[in-house]
Amino acid sequence: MFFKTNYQQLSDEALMQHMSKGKSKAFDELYHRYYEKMYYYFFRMLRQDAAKAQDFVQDMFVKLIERPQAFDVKRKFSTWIYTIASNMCKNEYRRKSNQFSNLEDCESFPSQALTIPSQLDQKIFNKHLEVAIEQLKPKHKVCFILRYQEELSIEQISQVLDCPEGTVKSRLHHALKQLSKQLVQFNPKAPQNKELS
Amino acid sequence: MNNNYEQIEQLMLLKDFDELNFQEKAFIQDSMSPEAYQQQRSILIESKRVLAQKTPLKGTQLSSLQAHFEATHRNKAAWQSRKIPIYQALLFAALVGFIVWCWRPVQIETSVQKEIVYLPKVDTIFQEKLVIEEKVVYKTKFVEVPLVLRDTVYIPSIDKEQFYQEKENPTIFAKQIPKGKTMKDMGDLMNFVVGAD
Repeated sequence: MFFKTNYQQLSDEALMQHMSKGKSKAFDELYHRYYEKMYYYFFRMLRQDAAKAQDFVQDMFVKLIERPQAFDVKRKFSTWIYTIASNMCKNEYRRKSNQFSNLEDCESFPSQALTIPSQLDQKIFNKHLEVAIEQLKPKHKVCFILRYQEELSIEQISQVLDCPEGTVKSRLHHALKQLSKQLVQFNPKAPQNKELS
Repeated sequence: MNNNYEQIEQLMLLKDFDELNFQEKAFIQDSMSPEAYQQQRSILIESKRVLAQKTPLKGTQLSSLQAHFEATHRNKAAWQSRKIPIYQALLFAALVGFIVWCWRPVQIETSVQKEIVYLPKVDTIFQEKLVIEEKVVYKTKFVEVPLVLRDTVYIPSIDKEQFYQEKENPTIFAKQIPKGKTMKDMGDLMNFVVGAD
């Protein structure tokens, strides 16, 4: 009561509790902790559309302001916020594309192997890798990004997506196999679809 | 492979196929060929690098979110800090008190006549034999019931030994109780006593 609260030292969950009591400093601290992470997550999930990613981050924080009580204090905030973000992306996929009726059932974009000459520099390879990641099925892509961009553990991903850990591993395995298949031309020694298909 | 995904992923991130020891090579070759391992390893490492590359952020929307936060919590605080006149509070308290008094519970002593407790008694000699004893326990129990107005109804009880009622006649008649039998009525007994035969 008599001492000034140091919000930087509080956990995310404690900040959420302060936020629901109307402490704007707690909100500022949470915003600084998560704005960048969430922006890059949306940026990657929404086909690298910077403007849309910014809008989504804004919307997500507005949701947080309006319904802080929706946060279950028993859960970890860092996984809960990714759950919200993933659900927003899922809704966006549903809204945007007529091809997708459900994230689980949706088909990938045309996935024929890219026809790229074998001798290309790193920059071009990276570009094609980015395209290949974009072309992953959404359910594989979300796992891949949460794992290798956001560096969440398998357990955390399973909590975010509310699915078993085995499913997450299977999706990661499929994503990696799909990327290898699409970029097989960059490794002429690799057997054509021997193990990859 | 799904079960071993994390181990394979760790090896891929750390070592080339040639750098693996004998056991690790055998473990990998259970799931894929060395070429596929190398291909997936390079994809995994490059993916992590590509996903770690971040385009600079344009700017944050913290100020607009802060304004939204303040507006949301100002409305909430205004509602919470609304003043209620003392007479309204007193009237409300009196009303609540009256309702509580009307519906106060009353203690009525009731006696539960019989409660059967089954005492299982295991025969230690013949294990299969289970003797169940019945024990009657008399208990007094206090039951709280809401206070309600009750009318007293007296129900007459008729002793069937002393009264009788004819069919389709509401009148109840008293039975004429015979005073006893004389020795005259019981000829056989009389003869036996006096030894007439």
